Amino acid sequence: MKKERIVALVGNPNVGKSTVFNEITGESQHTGNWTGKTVALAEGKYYYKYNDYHIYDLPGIYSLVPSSAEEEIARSFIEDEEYDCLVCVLDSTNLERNLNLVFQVAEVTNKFVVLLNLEDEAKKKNICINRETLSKILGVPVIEATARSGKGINQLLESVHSVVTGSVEYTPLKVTYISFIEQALSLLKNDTKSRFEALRVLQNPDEISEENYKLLNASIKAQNLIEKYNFTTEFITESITSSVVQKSHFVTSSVELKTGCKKEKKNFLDKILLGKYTSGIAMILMFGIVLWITIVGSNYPSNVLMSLFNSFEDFLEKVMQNVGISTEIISFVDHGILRVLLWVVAVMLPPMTIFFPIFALMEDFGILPRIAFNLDPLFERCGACGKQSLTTCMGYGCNAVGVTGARIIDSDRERILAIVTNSLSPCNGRFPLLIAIIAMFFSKNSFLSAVILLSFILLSMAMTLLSSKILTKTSLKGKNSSFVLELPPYRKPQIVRTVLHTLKEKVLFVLMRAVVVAAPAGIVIWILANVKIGDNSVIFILSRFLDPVGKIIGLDGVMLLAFILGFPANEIVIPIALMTYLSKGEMSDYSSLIDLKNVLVSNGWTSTTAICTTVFSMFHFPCSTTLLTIWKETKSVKWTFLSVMVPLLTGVILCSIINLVF
Amino acid sequence: MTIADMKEKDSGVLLSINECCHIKRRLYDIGFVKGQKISCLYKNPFGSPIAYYIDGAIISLRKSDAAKIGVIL
Repeated sequence: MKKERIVALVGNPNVGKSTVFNEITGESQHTGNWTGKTVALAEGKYYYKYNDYHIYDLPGIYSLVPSSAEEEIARSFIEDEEYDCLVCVLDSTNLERNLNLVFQVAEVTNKFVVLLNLEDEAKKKNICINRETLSKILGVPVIEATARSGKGINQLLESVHSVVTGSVEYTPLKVTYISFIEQALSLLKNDTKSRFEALRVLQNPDEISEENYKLLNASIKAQNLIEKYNFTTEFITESITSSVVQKSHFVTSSVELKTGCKKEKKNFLDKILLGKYTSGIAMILMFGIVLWITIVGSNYPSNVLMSLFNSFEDFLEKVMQNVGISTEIISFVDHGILRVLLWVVAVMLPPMTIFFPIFALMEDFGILPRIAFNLDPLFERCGACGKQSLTTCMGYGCNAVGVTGARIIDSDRERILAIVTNSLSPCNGRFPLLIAIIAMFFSKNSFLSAVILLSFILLSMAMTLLSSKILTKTSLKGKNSSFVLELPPYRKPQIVRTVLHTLKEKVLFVLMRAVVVAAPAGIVIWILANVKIGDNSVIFILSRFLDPVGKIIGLDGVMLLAFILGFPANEIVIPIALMTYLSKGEMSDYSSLIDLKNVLVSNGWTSTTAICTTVFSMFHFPCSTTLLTIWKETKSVKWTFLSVMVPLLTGVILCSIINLVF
Repeated sequence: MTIADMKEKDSGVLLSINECCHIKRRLYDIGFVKGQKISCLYKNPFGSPIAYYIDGAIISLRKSDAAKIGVIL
């Protein structure tokens, strides 16, 4: 069997690498319209002209000098891994800036092709690029493409094929630097593996880490040379960069023709979303509407699912009785496992099916960076990065996703800050509880519900900011790092594709996780509720034991126990609580929120209990998946521990205050 | 003056970046080069960040970073 060929997509952020990747592999990796969508390597396979190809989609980079963890992934791949061909994906509307990266890639390898993506957008802006001339100048194949509609993908595969098989030899154009640097490069040639590495040694001759002691020779030579000519490393860096920039400018001006009127710089939507007087209102309104749609939209399907599942249970029970299975087992299967499972599905599925796709569509359209732009001053004042507002938003979907997403943040301190505070944003698993309690105790009207939910979420935002501020002053001391954010042009989302993909990947994934957790949790809870010590079930004894603690924070023992047992997944908090309240040894089925409210009130719930439960559900410890992700991302006991303590303390303090005041 | 002093709708030509570090390199990479045309598009109501139109893209910077970049209107 022939060996698999390795291909990787390289390019600036937001030039459509993921779209190209999806077109080639037929997979549907989620594409978002914001810098830093691909936070890890995506990989796939394809087959072309009797060859097996393995293709990687690297995170977007502006240059091979990385400034964040995710950029480092791309850099190390390009410099250190073995591959047969790179595809430099370029934004045709912004050729000059994109070429900088091409020239850097050319210093590392000869094996690459250039893909001019977003040709349709360039046309709309009256930008015309002479592909053939560009190809001649650069000395590599150049292909025009509109990846979104699949145009140019075949030519791309053909060009990659020609590079991989070596049927045509390419010698890419290299930037010529000032004579001192060229001289140094030839001197270092034998001690370094590429011109790029030599350039790096030249810019930082003192920085040789242990693993590349091989570069020791090179760095000594570089140091000597620099001393001899008495240049500063700063001057060298500047000279190298300006050579690259000039080259890009020169090449662009010889192949690009911009005709027609000047591009429209200010977009109407941006005037509203980013405008001085409108931005704040627009943000709140947008968030409110999304929540309202989620609440209204999930209300009805949730009820339908619930009653459907109830009759399914009854049906199953009858079937099992008829077959002659003993009542204990029926109770175990039907009321233990199945009921918790179905509850989780019925309660979670509808809001998720609405919230996740809406969020994904906003992401595709390009709203997220605008949110970051608007919220940045708040985060800046709290010592955090503006991109933390993005990870906070991602946390509303799933905290584990938000924690991984923090990789887009450049500075380590600010990344940890974003990770530690992420669980303060209530995730989708907690929304149903919030929505249910609001509907039961505070409002019958869906519009008012949305407003109340919105204020709870604004509270969570405020807590995120406050704890960031406190952390910045205490355990995560430090200064603000710089914050550079690109606001990409709005792009029409591929609605059907995005919605289907989100349903498949996100909704199904989160649901499966919940189900996988809920089934065993159902068993444990059933056992706790059915094993008796004396007259009382274990769950009852435990909850009575926790009661005094729960009372302090305005809850009761049952709710506290429910939160603790809900550690595997926040979605099962309500089922556990109900099961304990009814102490029937199985989860009660109920058909409407009014029944539920009656159960709660008869167990001593007041509106204070309701508020405290809501607050505590927003601020307690992260769920098991999130905690595991935090550990993976930080590899630090300290930060993982802090990630538990920050939301927990917030919740305990807030709830105690609420309990004292009311 | 620096680009932090620009008002909305002002445009100018970039001079130099007055700091030698990490961010300078980053700014080069995204097109903040001497001689480049730049215009100020949006200012956050709090004064920071500020969004600029440069080299075909909209880039936003915090005021403290913008104050390191010289410009002539």
